[in-house]
Amino acid sequence: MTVPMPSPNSEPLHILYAEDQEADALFMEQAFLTARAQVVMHFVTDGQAVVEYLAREPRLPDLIFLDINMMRKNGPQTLEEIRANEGWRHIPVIMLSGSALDRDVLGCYTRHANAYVQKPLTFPEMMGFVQAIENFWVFQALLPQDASSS
Amino acid sequence: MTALKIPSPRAPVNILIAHPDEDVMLRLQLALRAITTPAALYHVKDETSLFSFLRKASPYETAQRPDMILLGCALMAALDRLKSDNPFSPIPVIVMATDITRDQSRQAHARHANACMRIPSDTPGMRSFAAALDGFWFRTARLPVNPDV
Repeated sequence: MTVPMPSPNSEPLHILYAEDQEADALFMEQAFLTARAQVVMHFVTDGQAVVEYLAREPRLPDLIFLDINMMRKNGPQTLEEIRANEGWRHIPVIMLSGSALDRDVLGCYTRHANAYVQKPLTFPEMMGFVQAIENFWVFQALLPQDASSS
Repeated sequence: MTALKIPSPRAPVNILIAHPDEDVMLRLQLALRAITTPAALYHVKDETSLFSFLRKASPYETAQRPDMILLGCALMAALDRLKSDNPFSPIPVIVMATDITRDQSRQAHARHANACMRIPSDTPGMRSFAAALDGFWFRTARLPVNPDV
């Protein structure tokens, strides 16, 4: 039996999700409404918008979910840009993709993605994803949150 | 006749614990033995042994490539080598310590640690730690498979 632990992170947690399919973004948003942790989701539609968001917003997100296939700037290109920026490179980035190809997975880890997850397709899969994110990233991992986090 | 499909047994994940403290290592091993995913656990105490293990140098000639490295904060200097040494850079590295600070977490992430965790001091906390690790990394995330190693 496992016991719940107090989160080592400040809540609400801010997650930036780059996803060009509106239905997938809504699906994720609905699932996070069931989360035990306080999570605020921010949505953008492609990698270029992620870069613009990070450059514009005074508060950096605690976690970024990046879809692999997006117009204008795709997930791997965006990841490289985040890792090349001294002010952003500490932000954990989880790549989300429909691809299960080993070369795609390896390519993302080589570019220093924090993790790679195959996109949940069904609601039970999505609930499992949300629970795994909460249990690890919210309640166990110590996120490199900004001092301004609240 | 239709052949009966029998799922193949899942290969264990190889977890390398790199930590100088024997007590922490034993408590981690105990907790990780209880996770759902079959796991093979290995242990090294310092940076030299860590790279010998990865390169299958003596006395680790038969070592398996780890799927994940749990790296004690005291061995943080190894992180830069791990993440720049190309064959090993994709391996997820979780930096952990009993008293890791937010600032250390930020530094570790900026140096491409995959995550940072505080090691719980009690048994129930350690079980939750291992279960969360299992739930995300071994049952949700895809781990990298390097075809060249």
